[in-house]
Amino acid sequence: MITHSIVPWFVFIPLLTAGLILLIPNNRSRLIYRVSVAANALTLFLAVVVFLNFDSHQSGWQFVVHRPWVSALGISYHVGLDGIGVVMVLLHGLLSFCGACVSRSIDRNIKLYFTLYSILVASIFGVFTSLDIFFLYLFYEMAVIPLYPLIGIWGSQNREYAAMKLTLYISLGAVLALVGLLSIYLASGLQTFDLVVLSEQAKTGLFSRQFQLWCAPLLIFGFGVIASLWPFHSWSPIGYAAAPTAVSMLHAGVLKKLGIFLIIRLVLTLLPEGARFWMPLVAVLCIVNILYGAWAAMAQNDMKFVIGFASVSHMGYAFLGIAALNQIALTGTVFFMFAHGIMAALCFALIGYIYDQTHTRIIPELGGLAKQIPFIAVCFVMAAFASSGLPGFANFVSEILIFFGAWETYPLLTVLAIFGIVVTATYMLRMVRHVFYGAPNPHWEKLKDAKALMIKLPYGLLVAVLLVFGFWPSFLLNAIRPTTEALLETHHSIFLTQAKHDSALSVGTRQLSHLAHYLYHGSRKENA
Amino acid sequence: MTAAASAWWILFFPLAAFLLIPLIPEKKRTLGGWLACAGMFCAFALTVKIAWPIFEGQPFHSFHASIEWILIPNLQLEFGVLIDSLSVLMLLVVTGVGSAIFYYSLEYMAQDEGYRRYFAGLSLFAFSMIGIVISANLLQLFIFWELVGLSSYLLIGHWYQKNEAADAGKKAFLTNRVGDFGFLIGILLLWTFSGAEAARSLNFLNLNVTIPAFAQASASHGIWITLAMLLVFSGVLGKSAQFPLHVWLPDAMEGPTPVSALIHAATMVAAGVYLLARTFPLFSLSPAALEIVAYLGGFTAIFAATQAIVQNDIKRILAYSTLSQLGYMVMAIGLGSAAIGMYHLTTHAFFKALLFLGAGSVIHATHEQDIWNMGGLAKKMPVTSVTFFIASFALVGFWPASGFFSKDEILSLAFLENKFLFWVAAFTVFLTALYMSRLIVVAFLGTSKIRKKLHEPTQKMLLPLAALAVLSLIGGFLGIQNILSPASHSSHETPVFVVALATAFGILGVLAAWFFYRSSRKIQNRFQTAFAPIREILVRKYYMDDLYDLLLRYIQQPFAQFLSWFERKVIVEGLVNHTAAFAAFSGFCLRKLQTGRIQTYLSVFFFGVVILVYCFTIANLHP
Repeated sequence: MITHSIVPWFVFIPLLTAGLILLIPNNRSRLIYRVSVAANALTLFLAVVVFLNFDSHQSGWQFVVHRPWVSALGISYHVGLDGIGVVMVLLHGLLSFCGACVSRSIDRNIKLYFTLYSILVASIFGVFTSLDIFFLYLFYEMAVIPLYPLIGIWGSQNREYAAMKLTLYISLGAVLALVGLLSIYLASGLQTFDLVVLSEQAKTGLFSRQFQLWCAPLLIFGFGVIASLWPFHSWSPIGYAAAPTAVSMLHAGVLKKLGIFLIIRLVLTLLPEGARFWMPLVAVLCIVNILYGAWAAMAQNDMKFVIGFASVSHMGYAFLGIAALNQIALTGTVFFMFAHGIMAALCFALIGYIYDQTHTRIIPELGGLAKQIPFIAVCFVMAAFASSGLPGFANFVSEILIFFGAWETYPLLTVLAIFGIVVTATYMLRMVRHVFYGAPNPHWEKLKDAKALMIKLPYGLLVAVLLVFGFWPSFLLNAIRPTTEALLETHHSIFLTQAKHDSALSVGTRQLSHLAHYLYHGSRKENA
Repeated sequence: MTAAASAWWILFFPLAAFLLIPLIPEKKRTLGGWLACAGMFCAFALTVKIAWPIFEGQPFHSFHASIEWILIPNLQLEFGVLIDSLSVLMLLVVTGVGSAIFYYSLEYMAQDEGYRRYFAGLSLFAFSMIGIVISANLLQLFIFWELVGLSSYLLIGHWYQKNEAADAGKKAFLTNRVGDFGFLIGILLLWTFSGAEAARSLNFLNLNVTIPAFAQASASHGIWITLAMLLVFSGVLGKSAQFPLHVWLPDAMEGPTPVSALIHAATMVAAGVYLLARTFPLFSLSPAALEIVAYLGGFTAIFAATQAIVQNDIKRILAYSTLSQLGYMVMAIGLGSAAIGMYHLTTHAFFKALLFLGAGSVIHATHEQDIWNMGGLAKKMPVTSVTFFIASFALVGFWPASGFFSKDEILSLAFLENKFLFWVAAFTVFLTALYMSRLIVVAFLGTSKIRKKLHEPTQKMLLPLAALAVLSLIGGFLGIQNILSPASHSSHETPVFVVALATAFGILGVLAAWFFYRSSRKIQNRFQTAFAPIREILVRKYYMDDLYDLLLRYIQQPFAQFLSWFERKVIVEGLVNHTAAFAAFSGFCLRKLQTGRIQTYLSVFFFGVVILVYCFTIANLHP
């Protein structure tokens, strides 16, 4: 069976490509480009094969490869995929291929660029496939390393500041998460980093409630940083604006999803009571994400900043889906990660195309571009509508699922979240209006539209994926559904036995009211 | 082919045309237009096939078919077709009027640069509109509801290089979005009410059973039903351009005229009325909601009609007229009869599409939209003019044109149910007669102000005009009202008083316009100066656009700017950079510990020893 040991190759192929590229002389730039595109096409092919071979009737791990490594510490090489992982691998395969395709405009140090790019791709695949916390964290940190030079060297304005800020932020989050992960390792007392073993044991109440309550926020906020949870989001618009196109694509498309993915995989599985306690707070913060990001996007003039804030805003929906802690919303979140990843990457790819041609991303300087570059304009209009959650695109399905799910848990917050899509449509259509519509600017008469098939391919592919899954969401949903069902079953069994549940919000407000009470009465006493 | 299969094919023919048109090379662009027409004609033919029993006078057997779309425990969403007499009637209107307008567009858009884009957009619209009509559940209806919004956006902005058109498209989409925000929350509420967690469903047939059960379960549930239905109605406010979300429709006239005829007069804007009719069993559970619907409809009818009197653009006059007529339909449903609302929707589709196509024919020949620059068109374009007169006749509601019958039904319903709304509606008849006669007197009669020679268009545009003219004229005798309510029609007699009053108001309006606009310029000017303040209010559209502009400019935009400022100054500079500065400062301090100079280390060491000695000896001597 060829698919049996397929999963390790998702990491090996990009790493081998990185090595191969190092062997090619720097002046053979076309060759380097082609090798990179071909390698990413291969991983995309494997991702599709895995997706098609994934048995969507069972909820457990599939394509598992398990080799003991440092048995003294309980570290083993253990990879495999569940319904969530397989969707994320497909997303990452698609985006890394499209990112490699649009990297043709890189004009200096190509060899180093593609080497770092391949390492980045490999480490993200590593996070999605690892079933061992040690490797999971290793790959997570490994993904941050190439980002710094990729932004710092090939970025645009303000790149050093942005690269520094982004790296520091994500590392800071990673340190928080590391503390959480190590305490899980120690608290379990099982001497193992193996996620499968830990999650099996967690179902039987391995971790005490007290432990879960203080460990969960370390992971939620630690990984929340990379998913740009408000107020830890400010690296994101600046970072995207500075990053080269392909890095923006991967970053907004997949890297951000790592945070959500890891919260689902670690917090929801290992620390269900901690999740239950902290999620109402996350739900409030994510509404701030949605509305704050959307309105901030409306005030931006740089196209990349608009999309940067838009992605901050959109990650709020993903958090809302997790926070609802029910199957409809969680399934929606996984679907949303996929749809939003494709859409955000498409937006950045298209902005990159426009920037390569015009050397500006400032909205008032553009205008009437639909005449010169109709293909790009059509793709962008579609991306804008996908972003605003128009039916027909995958984004709509995911948002509807999140709304239906979150409505059960937080009806009022859901109303605010739904208002977010009105605001989203406003800033996206404003951008379409001022960049593509209006009187043609004579300054941009000489722009060239994407004509050759290979140039059109990445944009067309991403649009097509959005449409296909928008019309037939069951392709993805069937794979996701059993996993989310199994994941939340443990939650149900725990909460059925526990009638009273506090949350961070209720405890916080109670403490505040105690404080107010104390201050008020205390001061009254003194007066008396 | 089974009936369900034909229903699916009605949906898929326009979709196929939409998908195929972009593949046609620019050189063979006329093929694209014909392809779109073919899709629409096939849809029409299949609709007629399904509706055949109705034509033969037999009772119609409704049917329902669906496939699973989203399947998650506790959330089953289906994709289905629900064909009953309501959807058949609406399908006939959409595909019938649609076919005429598609055919008309072949000539109207022949010279246009975006010919294929236009027909692709039109086919997309047809697909989405048919989708609304055949939807078997509320969420599916919402999906197509959004898609018609998209196609409307694309078609209004067809001439995207024109700033007005680009802005109008955006405005239309966003105004609708505001309405749809409420609509979606309404859907979520209805979903919650539709039964136990595992058995919930948004299917119309299901909702018609579960929501009444919910309403009867407890007296306190009534307020929730009212809330949910009003939220659903907010979607109608957007799509059917009712006050206060009506502002997008007049601006939408920036689109090509056949688009205005099909989308912004005959079908899409009527989708809101269709939704009301479709969910009427739910609305009828809440008298309070119905009353609000009726009053808003009545208000929109008179509110828009007054604005139509001062417009100068031929298409904008018709747009305000559309608002006003939609108000009639909404009011009729609010007063308790979905059948009468749908009846007026049907006749209105005939004569309003005809009016717009006639206006298009005039614009095509003259390249002029201001009625004051036209004049004497009746002599130069006789066929267009005659059809235009017939349509106006129907719009005002004179016997024997179709509008007479449907409007009389509405008026007599209002007469029985709500006297106040009756007088509002009757006075609106006077206003309607006034603004239509003004349009005809100024643009079609009198002396021509156009120098060049005018031609009637060819048969491609005249044939649809003729067909719609026939329907507008005889629509009242076709038994359309019997399709929806064969029994209830005879239940109340039309009071003679109502008919007489409406006709009198109509004639009064015509006479007023005739004498005023045929009179000398001097009298007109004197009159206008006398009523200048009122005129100013009407020309400024009751300052509604200004109000929304103010809201956007002084509330939304500053708020966005404030958040952007907050992000830059407080979060980035305040928190993040100060954290960084703090880290740098602590590094600066700690750096002093490791200077690498032996003298520093020695002196620190010496002081340390002194302190330790002090602690261990002197301090211990005096405890």
